[in-house]
Amino acid sequence: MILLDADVVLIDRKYRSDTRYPVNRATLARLEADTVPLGMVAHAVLEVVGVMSPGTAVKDIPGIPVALQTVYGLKIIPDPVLEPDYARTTFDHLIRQMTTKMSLGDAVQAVQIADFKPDADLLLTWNAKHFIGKVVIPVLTPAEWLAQQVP
Amino acid sequence: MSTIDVVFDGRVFVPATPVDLPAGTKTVVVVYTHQSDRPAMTKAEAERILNGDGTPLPWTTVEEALERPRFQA
Repeated sequence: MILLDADVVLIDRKYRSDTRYPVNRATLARLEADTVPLGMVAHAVLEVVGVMSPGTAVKDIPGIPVALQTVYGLKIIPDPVLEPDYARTTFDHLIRQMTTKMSLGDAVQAVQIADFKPDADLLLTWNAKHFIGKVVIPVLTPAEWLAQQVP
Repeated sequence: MSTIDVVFDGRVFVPATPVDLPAGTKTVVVVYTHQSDRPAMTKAEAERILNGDGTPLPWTTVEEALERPRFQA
């Protein structure tokens, strides 16, 4: 499974004038074509909801997580139905994670990966430099991942 | 407490992996269906939701929206 960070989805949906959009879109298209299992940690999904909310009708905001699952074919980790408590971590665990010089948001994502999907193959994020060495799985940007694929 | 995946064969719940419990152990099965590979929403509806209502977002860049510094990829 490859995990997507919030920035990958947000560039695809809301920041299409971003210079990284073409590579970002090509990466997502390749992932879909290769039927690579995709996931997002719950924290990243909530980040997407928070960013999309100002541009989404109030009645539609609760449907954003399922819409992401439907469009991108991804799983939310941990499953919010089975693990409805947000983050499922502790104050001390987050403090320990932030000793690697991470923001709170990034630390929550790193902890959720460590706790719920440490066997994931990869985290795709445009913020890769900030995550490398601080999460338990490999980290690449969409551009780096796409460049590694056989045409 | 631990969780195990089970499959309902129409009559009984069968563990999907070996279970380290003595035969006869009484336990409780909380019935929960895994996330479906095909969530209960049409793709058209999902696209409509993700496209939003046309209100511009108040952030110029994705990094600004996520309150993250931008690193050169």
